[in-house]
Amino acid sequence: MRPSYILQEALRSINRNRGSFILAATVQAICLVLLSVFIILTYNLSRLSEAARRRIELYAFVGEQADPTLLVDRIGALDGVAQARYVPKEQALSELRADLGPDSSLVDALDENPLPPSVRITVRSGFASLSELTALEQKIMLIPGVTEVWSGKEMVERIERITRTVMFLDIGILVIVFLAVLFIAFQTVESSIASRHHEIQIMELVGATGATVRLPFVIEGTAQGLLGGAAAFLLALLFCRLTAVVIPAAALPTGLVLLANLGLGAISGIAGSLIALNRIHRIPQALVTDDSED
Amino acid sequence: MNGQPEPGTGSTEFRTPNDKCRVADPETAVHAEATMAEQTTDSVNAVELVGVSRLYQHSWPALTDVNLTIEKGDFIFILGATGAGKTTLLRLLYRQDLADSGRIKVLGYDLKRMPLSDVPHLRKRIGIIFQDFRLLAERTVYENLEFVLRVIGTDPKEIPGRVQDTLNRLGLVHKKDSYPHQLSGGEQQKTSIARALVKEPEILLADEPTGNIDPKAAADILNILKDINYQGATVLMATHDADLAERTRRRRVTLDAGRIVRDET
Repeated sequence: MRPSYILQEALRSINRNRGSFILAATVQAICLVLLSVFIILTYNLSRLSEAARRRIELYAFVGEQADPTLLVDRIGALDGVAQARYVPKEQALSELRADLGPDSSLVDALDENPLPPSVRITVRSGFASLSELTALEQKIMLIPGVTEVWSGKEMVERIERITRTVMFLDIGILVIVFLAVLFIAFQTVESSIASRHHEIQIMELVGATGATVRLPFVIEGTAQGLLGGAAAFLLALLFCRLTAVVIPAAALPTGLVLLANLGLGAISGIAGSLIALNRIHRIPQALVTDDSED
Repeated sequence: MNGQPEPGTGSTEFRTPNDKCRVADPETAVHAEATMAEQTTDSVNAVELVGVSRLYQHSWPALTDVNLTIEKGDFIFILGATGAGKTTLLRLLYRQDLADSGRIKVLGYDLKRMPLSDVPHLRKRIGIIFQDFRLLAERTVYENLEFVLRVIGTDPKEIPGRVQDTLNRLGLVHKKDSYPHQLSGGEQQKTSIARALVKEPEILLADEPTGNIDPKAAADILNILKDINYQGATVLMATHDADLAERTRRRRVTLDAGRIVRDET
């Protein structure tokens, strides 16, 4: 088996079927670009979700007679708490005023300050999941002086639900795209084998090894997958350029998209070729049965 | 042994059937003679079929209990009408098909027990010629021969010389740039023989090589096959033309409905 011969045969086959080769690579690129778009969306969604988690703040409302220093110390000592800070009721009111902006006169209409004093708690990274927040909320509630805890876990729950849905969608898209790209590679190599069945039969009869017969087809399938993957990557770059106009903060995970496209293209190319090659022995067999009666 | 050619066939002690045993000790000599008998069977025989049967679908017996031994360097005709089992027999020999029962040995390989990875090694040592030529239509005569050497991994530097020599031997040099469709039937069959010969096979299997060509071209082809045999290759030629075989005065094995009905020298 000579590598130069195998490479030459692969190039010869690609050149002979260049029309269908390019067409198949284009269809593969379209499938892969769909996956790329989903990878980019998921990446940006997880960035947003991470940023939202970093901003999560728990509010522990406390009684007016509670000792602020003691509360802050006890809450600050809990596992997962990054920072705890006491907010007196006056500060809470002035913050409300600032938040209301032009409508702050509504606050002035009140006879007395209805807002309770509170301890505002930021959590350490890794403690912003729904289960961790629920556990922390329960621990804070046990501290004397704490009347109520608002953890914002509903928002976290929503983020987790969206992330989970998108991940499932991603896996679904990945499977569909992989099968589609695999099928295209299979079809191309199979038609290439069919157009060369006579040659393959001769190769096998004169003593060519399995690798000599098969490797050119595997190279053909892989090359097609890689070409489709590279084209999909370029299309994904273009997609990012266009969306940057609408969403300037959107980021492109270049390495991940490149790896996903080329990797999936190559793997499906190899797998598609190997599946198609399983037919190699059936085709010559079908041909020779014609003269087997003799 | 695992289907491989058995060791000892190239031994210095028992090289050929006619070589004398060089063992001095009488006891060892008795054992050695017995071993030699077994080993020389392989060294002498190119092909050995013992009780070979092949059934096709619907239990149609293509071959039944075929026993046949062909020594290296023999020229043998396999005769029989259409459907007698000639092609089946040849297909079994180049392991395109497997026998349902019995044992087949070709060049020392046990065809049933040999690993699939050894099939290319066996086929490199066998040349096959078909009635319908099976040339690659989009390649010239030269390229058809070159293709064979390239796919079996011959050193590229050796290829032009070997192709040229084979073309010279078969008188095809002036046709080397022609495509199969530009050749007569006889020339196509010569190209098919050249393709089989270029890899210097030890056995040549010819399946009705004169079936599709005129009598003069057929005589030419037969002379070429005889010449190849004279150079040392074992030749098996399947044909339905009993007259042609008789004129040639070589061993003739006749098949009828899958059974050997005559074996005459």
